Amino acid sequence: MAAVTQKTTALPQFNTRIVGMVLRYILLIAIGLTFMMPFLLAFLGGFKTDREIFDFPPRILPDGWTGGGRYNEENAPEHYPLTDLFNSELIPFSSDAVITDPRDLSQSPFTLRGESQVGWTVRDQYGLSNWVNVFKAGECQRGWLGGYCFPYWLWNSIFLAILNVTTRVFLATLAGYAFARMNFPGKDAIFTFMLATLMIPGAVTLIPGYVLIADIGWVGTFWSLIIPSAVEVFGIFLMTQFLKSIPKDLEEAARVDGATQWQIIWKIVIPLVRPALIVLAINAFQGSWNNFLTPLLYLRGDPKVFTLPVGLQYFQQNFRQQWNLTLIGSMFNAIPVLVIFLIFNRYFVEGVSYAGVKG
Amino acid sequence: MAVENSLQHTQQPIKNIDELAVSLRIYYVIVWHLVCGIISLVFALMMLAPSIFESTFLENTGNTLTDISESAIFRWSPEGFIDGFLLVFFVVFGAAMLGFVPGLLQHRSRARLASLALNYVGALLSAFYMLRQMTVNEAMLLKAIGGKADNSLFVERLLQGAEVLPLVLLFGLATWTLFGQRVGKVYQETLDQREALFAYLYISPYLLLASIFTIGLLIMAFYLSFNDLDLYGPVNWVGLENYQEALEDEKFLVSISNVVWYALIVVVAQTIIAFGLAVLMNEKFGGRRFFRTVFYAPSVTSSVVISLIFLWLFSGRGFVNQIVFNWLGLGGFIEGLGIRIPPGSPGLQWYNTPNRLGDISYLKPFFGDTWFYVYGLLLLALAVLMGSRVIVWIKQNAYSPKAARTIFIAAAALTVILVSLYAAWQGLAGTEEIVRSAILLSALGLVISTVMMNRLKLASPAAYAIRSTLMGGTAWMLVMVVANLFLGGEINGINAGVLAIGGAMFGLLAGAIAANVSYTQSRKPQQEILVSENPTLVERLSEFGGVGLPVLLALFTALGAWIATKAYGLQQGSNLGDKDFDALLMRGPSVAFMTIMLQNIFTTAPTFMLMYLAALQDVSPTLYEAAQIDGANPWQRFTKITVPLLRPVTLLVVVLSTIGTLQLFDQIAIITRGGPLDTTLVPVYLIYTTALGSQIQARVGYASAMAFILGAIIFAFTYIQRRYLEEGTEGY
Repeated sequence: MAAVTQKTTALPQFNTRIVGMVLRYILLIAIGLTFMMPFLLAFLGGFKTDREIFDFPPRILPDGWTGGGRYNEENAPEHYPLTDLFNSELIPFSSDAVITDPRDLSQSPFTLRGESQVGWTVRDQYGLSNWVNVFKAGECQRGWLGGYCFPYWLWNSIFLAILNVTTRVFLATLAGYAFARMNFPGKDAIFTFMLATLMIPGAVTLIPGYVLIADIGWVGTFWSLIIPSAVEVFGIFLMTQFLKSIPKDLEEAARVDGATQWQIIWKIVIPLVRPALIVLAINAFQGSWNNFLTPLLYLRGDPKVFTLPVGLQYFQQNFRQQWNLTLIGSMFNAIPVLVIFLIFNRYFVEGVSYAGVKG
Repeated sequence: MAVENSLQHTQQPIKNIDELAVSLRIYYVIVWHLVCGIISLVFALMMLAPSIFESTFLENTGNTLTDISESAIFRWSPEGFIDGFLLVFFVVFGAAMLGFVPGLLQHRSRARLASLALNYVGALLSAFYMLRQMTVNEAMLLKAIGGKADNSLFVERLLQGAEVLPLVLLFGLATWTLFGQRVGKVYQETLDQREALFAYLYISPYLLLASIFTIGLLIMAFYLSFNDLDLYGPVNWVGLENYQEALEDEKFLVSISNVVWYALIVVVAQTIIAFGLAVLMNEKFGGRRFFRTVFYAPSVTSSVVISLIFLWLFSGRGFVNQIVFNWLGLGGFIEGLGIRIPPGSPGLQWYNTPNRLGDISYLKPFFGDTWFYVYGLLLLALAVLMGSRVIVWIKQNAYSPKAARTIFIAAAALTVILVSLYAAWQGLAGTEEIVRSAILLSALGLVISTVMMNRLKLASPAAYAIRSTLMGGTAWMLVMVVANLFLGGEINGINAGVLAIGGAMFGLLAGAIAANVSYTQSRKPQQEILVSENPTLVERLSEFGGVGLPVLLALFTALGAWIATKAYGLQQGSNLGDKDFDALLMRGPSVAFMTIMLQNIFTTAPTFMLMYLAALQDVSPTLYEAAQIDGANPWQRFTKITVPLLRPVTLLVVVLSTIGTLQLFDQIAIITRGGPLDTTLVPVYLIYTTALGSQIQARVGYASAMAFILGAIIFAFTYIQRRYLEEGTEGY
């Protein structure tokens, strides 16, 4: 009897667990797809030709990949999507002129390249040439990276990211060490003041920031993006807290052995706080690489000094028919962060745990 | 704390004034070396990389002055040897100055002598460099007015400058004698003093930058908001005019009403979604890390990328229309909502659809002028909540319940008096400006008195209440008097009386807040909520008062300011007509704005999911086991354990996302630029365009005033976060 009752109770339990698990995975996959779909569609959209990208109904895979030929010159559809493009895509601009004809080069600060305009050739049925054409995206004043804007944007972003990460990590580590390990008059007052400055909303200092930067003559230069953000309170706070959690016996021992302050920092402290340094570096990289508002504000004027996010926005607003190139440009911005995210997944999560103090 | 610590640790504490003076001198010398070194290196860097750091701004504004700096003599080029020489000098000098700091710290006499010599050379060449810069400026001006500028101008100025050379030498010698010579006396300097020196060295970059780019800018913003200026013209003091204009500016009101909707919808939606996702991810199952990575991906990519992708997906020929119109067949439904699909387009142009959804303006006739009284009732309810909080606080601190009841009744009665008197005063006395400024400054007075209260440590709650009432009242009075003077209003008996009562009231409120804060911090009520059984009505109320109180307070202060202003405006026949604030607020967000909301939820919800997840993993599983043994079903375990334990995180998430959403900018600048028909106009974007939108009319002062109004609202939220979450961040 007992065995039978056990069996009858065990069976439904087992079933509900299986059903629950299946339901959970279905739900998870659905949510995961929702979160990944925009990226996937955009990535695939980057391989489409100039015409295909505006065709309706849109298809998920590029035509060339499925062996299509829908956009061959001979059997091009009667209804040519580009013709009524600007009747349908009207976003009112407040001050800028609306480009009425994409072929009229005088209306755009860019010069369209012949290759990217056609986009689709017989040889390039997989749309890979878009990845090359994006580097010829717009015409800039000729410089050391050639006469097109996109390479400059990419380089500017990389350059700024390197400088920002270096300065922020270095200076935050120094300051964090001072707050966590050293005694000096006014330490608590300065630390409290530092946390208090986090409460100042960014919107308030936006405009005077521009006025100041313009007064110094840094508008259009990278100083404006390096110096004001060279030290981050968030970074100092993170380093301070992390260092406080590490026992200081090792340092004391080194000090007794006659090591100097610098030796203690570089030989003993830095190896110990490597996880925090990675969190800090990732945070600084993400902040610099994804930053939009300050570069938009300070890097006014010549498109050559834009960073990638500002450049992408600029490109999109001047070239609203070139969606395939815009999407590829976006991929250049998104993929480095996503790759770093995949590698250092754990540290991103840790960074979010600290975000409570960031405001 | 730190001061005491450092004093305790000092093996050889400073004994007399002499030693203090010596140590001050060495600080001076070292700071001098540091400053010289850093400035020189910065000069060198600026000269070294003109092509990278060169300003293109002037060029693009068509300014002809730049070609002088491009021209031969003033640039570092094979011809311009001056610059080449100076560059080398600055590198060597900067490095040497910095390099001497360790030597000086160890008091090597050779280092001292060398630094003395270098100081002289440095002073001379720096003067030379500055003179040269002045000549460049002068040459620019000369050229601008059509004169001629060449090397002879520089030589002339150089000779003139040489006249002050003896003075420079004397000054340098005097400085060195006063501060530098006796450095050697500090040989016996203790370890801790040196440590303090290094500590200041390490935090000096932060201090320098923060004093300029945080505090400096804040002061500058405050100053600018009282002035009328553009980027190029003169500065005119206009007093509070900018603020007044902002409150009457239809565009600003529209932007505030938009962003209020935005914050309401996005905060609620993304908190719920983040919570749900975290609960879903909390249990252990295969591929958990994979899913976490996938979910979090939208949060790490830049807003520009997501905006561009969404702009494409939601365009007329995008995927969303394919899904909505062709796969789901919702075309009829959308047309039924009164949204017109543009001819020639295969679907809706989401970002170009100004139709507002959720229009409740038909409710307006039922409220109308009564908004003001609704606000009064809300304030009363707030006072009840706060009073109950005070009662519980006093009870738990073993003071007499009778006194608690008295304070509570007094608070409630004062609120009633205040509200009715305030309403009466509105009709009786004062100009419109006084009313408006009074309401606006009430927020300021509240913050001031709250801060003051928190600094007070008093023995008994009764003394606490009395003192805080008095102090709050005084602060309030001062604020009001200043406001009245500022606007040229009169102070009569009625005004003063009402002001005093108002001040007392606000002081009491502030005291209650302070008590509440100290209670929250000392007792951690979220732990007690779990174990409390059979709570009384007052305790239940106080529970709500404890968590929701500051949020409500900030909201009501802001809301009250708006509504009372507008109600007054309506009575007097406002020039805003139908477009007054509450009418705007009732019309709901547009389709375009909702699409942006969707995007924000998509990008930010995963971040908050991680916060919830981190908190969920700290919840001890024994709690659930115990509950299970007691026979609680999963739903009960969720609502009785998970939700209350996560309350601090929820508060953090709500506050953080409110601050974030109120400062929305990127998406608007990329996607809609405030359009269509201003339905996606938000304050930060309006501020940006007002100050920098066009070269012709750049209204920097007005933009700063708007920024300050927005900033006050955001500050209220941030303040709550800091006050209430300090204990939460201590754990890390």
